[in-house]
This record gives sequence, C-alpha cells and structure tokens, in this order.
Amino acid sequence: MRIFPLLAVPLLASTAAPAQGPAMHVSGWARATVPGQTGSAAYLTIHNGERSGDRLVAVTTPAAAKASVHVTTTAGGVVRMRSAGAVPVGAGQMVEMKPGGLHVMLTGLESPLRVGEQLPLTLRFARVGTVRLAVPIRLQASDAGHHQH
Amino acid sequence: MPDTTSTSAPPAGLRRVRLIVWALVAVAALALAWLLLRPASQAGQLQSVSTGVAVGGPFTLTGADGRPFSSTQLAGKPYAVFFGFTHCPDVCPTTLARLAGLRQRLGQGEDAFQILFVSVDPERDTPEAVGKYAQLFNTPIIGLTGSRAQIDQMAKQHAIYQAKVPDAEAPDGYTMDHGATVLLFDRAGKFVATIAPEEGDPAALDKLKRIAA
Repeated sequence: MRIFPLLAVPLLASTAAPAQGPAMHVSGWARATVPGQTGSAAYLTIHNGERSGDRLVAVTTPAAAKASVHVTTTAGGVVRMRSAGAVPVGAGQMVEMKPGGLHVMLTGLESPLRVGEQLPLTLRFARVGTVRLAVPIRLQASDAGHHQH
Repeated sequence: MPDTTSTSAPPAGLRRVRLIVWALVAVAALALAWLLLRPASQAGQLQSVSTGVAVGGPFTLTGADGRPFSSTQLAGKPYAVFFGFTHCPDVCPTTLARLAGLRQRLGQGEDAFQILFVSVDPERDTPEAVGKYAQLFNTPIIGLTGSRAQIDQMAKQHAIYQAKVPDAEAPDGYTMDHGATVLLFDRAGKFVATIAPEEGDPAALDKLKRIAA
C-alpha cells in the first residue's frame, strides 16, 4: 500500500526559492481511479517564465509504471489519442492541458488514485531540467459536480 | 522503373503483370485511405442514417455480473449510450463524468435516464473491469462488455466507429480510436438524438430533457 506524501505546497523550485531556480510554474490535477483501474490521466498547466523556450521531455511518478504526454483529438465525433512527444513551451508562454486534449497518460498504477490525495510528479524539461510537484487528485476538472446550485 | 538486378529488360508479358500488380496496389492504397478517412464522414452521416436506417435496436451484451444483459432490461427506461474502454484515461471518464453531472443537473434523480457504458475493447475489458470502472462516478452507470462479435454488432447498429491503434506507450501497446458521440433513446427504445463531444452543456441538457422519464 503506497501512501502519497500529502504536500500542502507543490515542490516547485520557483516557489521555494524565487530568486533561484527556473521560473517554470506548473500546477494541475490528476483523475481519481477505482480499485483495479490501472490507467488515468493528469492535466498540467505549465507557464514558462524563462527567457528561453523549453520543452517538456519526460514525466515520471512513483505511482505509475509509466507517464507520457498524449493528446486526444476529436474529429467527426471520433476520438483519437496519440503520443504527443516532447511538448514545447515557448518563453513567456503557457501550455494548458485539458480533458479531451493534451494530458499526461498514467499507466500501470500500483494503487488507486483517491480523491483528496496528491499525486507526486517529476517533470523533466530540456533546458531547466527537473521540476517536482504534487497535484491534487479529483474526479473531474472542477469539483463543480459536488457543488450544484 | 529500371531494374538493377536484371541484365536485360523483362519480357512484355512480365511488364504487363507488373503493371497489373501495381494497379492492384494502388487500388488497395485507395481502399485503405477510404477506410482511414471514413470515420469523419460516418459520424457526419449519423443524422441521415437515423432517418433512413434505424439506429439502435435490440442487443444482448454482458453485464458487470458476467451475465447476459439484454436491451429488454431497459424496457420503459430512457437511456444514454456511450462507447469507450477502461484503459481510456481521458475522454471516457470525462464523458461519463459529464453525463453523470448532467443527470444530476436535470434534478429528476438517477432514474431520469440510464447511462450505458459499452466497451469497444472487450479483449481487455472483462465484466468485472467494466463494472468497477462504472463505479468511479458515484452514480449508477451500467458497464457492458461482450464478445468481439457482439461489440462489433452493437457499435455497428449505433453507427459508432472503433479501431485498434498501436501505441507503444499505452498498456499492451495499443489504444482504441472510437466514436465518442452519446446516443439518446427514449423509454420506448427509440433513438431520439445524439450528444456530440464538442457540444455544450445547455444543448445536451435540452436533449436529455426530451428523453428523461
């Protein structure tokens, strides 16, 4: 049974030490799973505050055997999911992953991702190197479903 | 095309055979292109299909309990059908969560319409797998799978495209392309409307009101 570290603040180098480290701001969330389900997705918002463009080249997490950026496209009602390869993030630009588009595909989950827990992620960028963070685990993009008016 | 391995030009008969072979290759390539490009037009034709040929109709699949699930079990109940697979990390949970949310917003309870999740990946999706997956959304969802033949028939009668596609990063080395259109049926089992993936919630809610019990 794996216990995810519950981190109040994402382990961003930039948040921890604003004067140093890369100005690569990452936030996001991961989709909850049920027992027995071995795959899920995480959605990240990456803001590159650096003066140079960069590329997200790899994602890893201790919770899944494999993490890879995939993109879903919809045409004529048919959805297709393909590997997205390295994701470019231009200088001063933001990449926003969303359901039905870019996402981090997680496969080989060792245990369910439970709502309220956090998923630790390690991102590797071509220029700034490693960025670590933990994202909240939710059922869907917003928790609007739980707060109906 | 010069043939570097032979010293003399091939006889005319052989050239003709080669021409025919290349023509066949071209025909095969065109057929493949048509097959690949077809889904986009197929979904677009759904409306015309619905007026010509009946969409939906009786079916028998396998329920989460491993026992046959027949469309007769839906008699008198409106339902929404979505095709997907449990290894689908993005669109499938998004769509099912959306349907669950829309049903909640209708405010007519969980019997307003049934939500059916039909696997297009029966090789991996056991009854147990679809059953567990359907529990993710904290509201009753009917997870269904079946034999490959049953699933093919089910997809065909709902005009849903499905294709196995290699993906080295996906579990077992493949993913599924599939129609993500939700089909809505009234309590008499009659096809009423579709909800397209790109369609906004207000339009989707209006359609769901038309079938809701």
